Amino acid sequence: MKHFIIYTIFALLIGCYPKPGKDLLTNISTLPSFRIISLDSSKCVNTDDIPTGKPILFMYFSPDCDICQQETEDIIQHLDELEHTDIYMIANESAEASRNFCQTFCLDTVKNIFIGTDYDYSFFKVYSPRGIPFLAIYDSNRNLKKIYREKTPASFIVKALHSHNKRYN
Amino acid sequence: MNIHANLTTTESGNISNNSTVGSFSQFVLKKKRNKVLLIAALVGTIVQLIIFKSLYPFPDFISDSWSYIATNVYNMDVNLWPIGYSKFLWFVHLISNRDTFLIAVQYFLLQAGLMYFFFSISYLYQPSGRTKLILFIFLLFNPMTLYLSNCVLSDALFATLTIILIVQFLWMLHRPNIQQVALQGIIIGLAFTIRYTAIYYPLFVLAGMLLSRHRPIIKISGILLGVILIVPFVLYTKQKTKEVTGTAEFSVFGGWQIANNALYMYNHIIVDTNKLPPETRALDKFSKQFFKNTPPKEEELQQLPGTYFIKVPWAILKPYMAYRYTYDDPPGQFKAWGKVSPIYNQYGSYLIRHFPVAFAKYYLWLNTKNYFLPHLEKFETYNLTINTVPSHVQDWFGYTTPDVYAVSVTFQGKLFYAYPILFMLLNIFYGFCILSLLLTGKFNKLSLYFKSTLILVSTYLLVNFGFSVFATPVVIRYQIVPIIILFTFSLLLIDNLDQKTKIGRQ
Repeated sequence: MKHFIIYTIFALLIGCYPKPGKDLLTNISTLPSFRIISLDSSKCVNTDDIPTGKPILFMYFSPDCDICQQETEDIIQHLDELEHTDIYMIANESAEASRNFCQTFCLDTVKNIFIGTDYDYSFFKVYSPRGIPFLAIYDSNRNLKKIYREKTPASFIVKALHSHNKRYN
Repeated sequence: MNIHANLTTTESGNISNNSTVGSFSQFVLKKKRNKVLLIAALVGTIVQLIIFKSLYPFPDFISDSWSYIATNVYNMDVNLWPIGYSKFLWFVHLISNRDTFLIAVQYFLLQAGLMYFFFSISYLYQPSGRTKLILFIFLLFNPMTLYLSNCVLSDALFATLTIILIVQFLWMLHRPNIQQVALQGIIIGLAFTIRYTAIYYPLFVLAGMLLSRHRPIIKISGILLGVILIVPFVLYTKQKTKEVTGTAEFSVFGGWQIANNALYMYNHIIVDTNKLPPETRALDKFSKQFFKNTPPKEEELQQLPGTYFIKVPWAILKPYMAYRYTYDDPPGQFKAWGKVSPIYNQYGSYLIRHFPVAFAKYYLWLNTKNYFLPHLEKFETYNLTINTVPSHVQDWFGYTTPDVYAVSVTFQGKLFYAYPILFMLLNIFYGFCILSLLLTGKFNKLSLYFKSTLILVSTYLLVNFGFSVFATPVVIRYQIVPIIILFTFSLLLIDNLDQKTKIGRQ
């Protein structure tokens, strides 16, 4: 019994080592505050002002990235299942490149997609995306559902939006 | 070891030494010392897992792990690896999708198998107290078991089945019954759906059944049972592979492996492209171009033991596949791998058939060296030193983010640094003991049962050696059971020699 207690205390102590990624998860577990500006600079969206009631998908991308283009195509093919989701596509490159991207995929005709620029790097600072495409999915109550750090089938995104599972990391 | 058990028993009375300890369950549960060991093993198992999981909160993954999970996520009937382990993952996932639950199941199964092995050895061979204690600690407090179970790989489950299989035959030598025969057949069938390595197990079964004291009809049934249970799975896999790739291949990976093995000698032989089978000539041009422009150095080949041409993205096989087929998801990947596999099989087989000496010199010899000093591979670093998992793996375990972490990604490499050396020393020691017993004629003085045991165990080790050198890359995670067997029976041999020395002195 004595040894069991010693082992347990030891286990608890070594369980206290710093866990990378925990801080990030704490900061983004509810929709954090950041700003995006529309491509024509006519509208600035502050996430604090986004109303609750609809799930939200943020996709951080680069207009020149092939994989981001494939991801966008896949999302477009699943728009029926995403019609009640607000989709924010965010780039950090020139508005011109994003506009071309937008035209290529006819995104300006989709009413629940907003394409903008992370003009003050507030998105980047909050999420620290290490690669693109980077996807962040929030439920209608602004609680984080998923973070994907690579090209992800749109069916996974749809599933994540509809799932009720809790997080395990 | 009880000298009476090994040196003086008669051919028909082997279990007389156990008559004083009663049945196996009484031996484990009623004998005070064994009861203490059992409780220590159970508590130790739980405590070790708690400590380990606080240091490694996530499982360990490699590309094979992603493939096993993709089989379930994409509802595939076949994949690069046999689907048995994917089905196991699916079954565990039905109960809970927590990664820790899966790891605990794998670990508890393996520890239970090892406890069964330990108490069976203790009961059947009655080792000395010192030997028993060393064996107990080595088997049940070995960090390798924890690291192995923490991998989303078939190795822990396969090792569990193999250990139980071997124990059946140890029992069969002493107390044969029909249940052991049935169980070994079922284990062979199951093991084969988990790892194709089990393809050589019928040879071990053949030796075990011949050595057993069963009636001939039971022996034949036992030998055939495992093979009969393997056949439906082979037919099913071939049929499903044909539906996807167009060729009824049993192991898609097999073609890649044969071509990979043959390419190890390519830089040392002269291949006339025009004499090759027509389907393989385009592939041969890739080989010629690769060895002309970027021939791998010796140390580069050694870094990926026995798998260089499968793993390196620019080394012939993957570029050729990319030239012929593209894919963007796991089913597409399987199709592409499967489409080129028959060509690789034909190409590799042709080269090996036509250049057997070079093959022996540049591949078999290399793999023989690898066998005795197996690479740490998966045990060297955590999660291939990357800190994320693919999205389908993330979803399978319900992770919010793909981020995984551990107390250290490199510590395990230091922890297991000596294991390959231990494996080599155990092989040398065991081989030396067997040879000296044979050469000095002392082998014949051993009890029939210990002799049978040594023949059985040596058969397993020899067949494993042959299969490892010829057919697979040799890495330490594939050699866990051989390590356990070598360690255990080396200790029993030492015990035996000790007893003889004592008797000699007396």
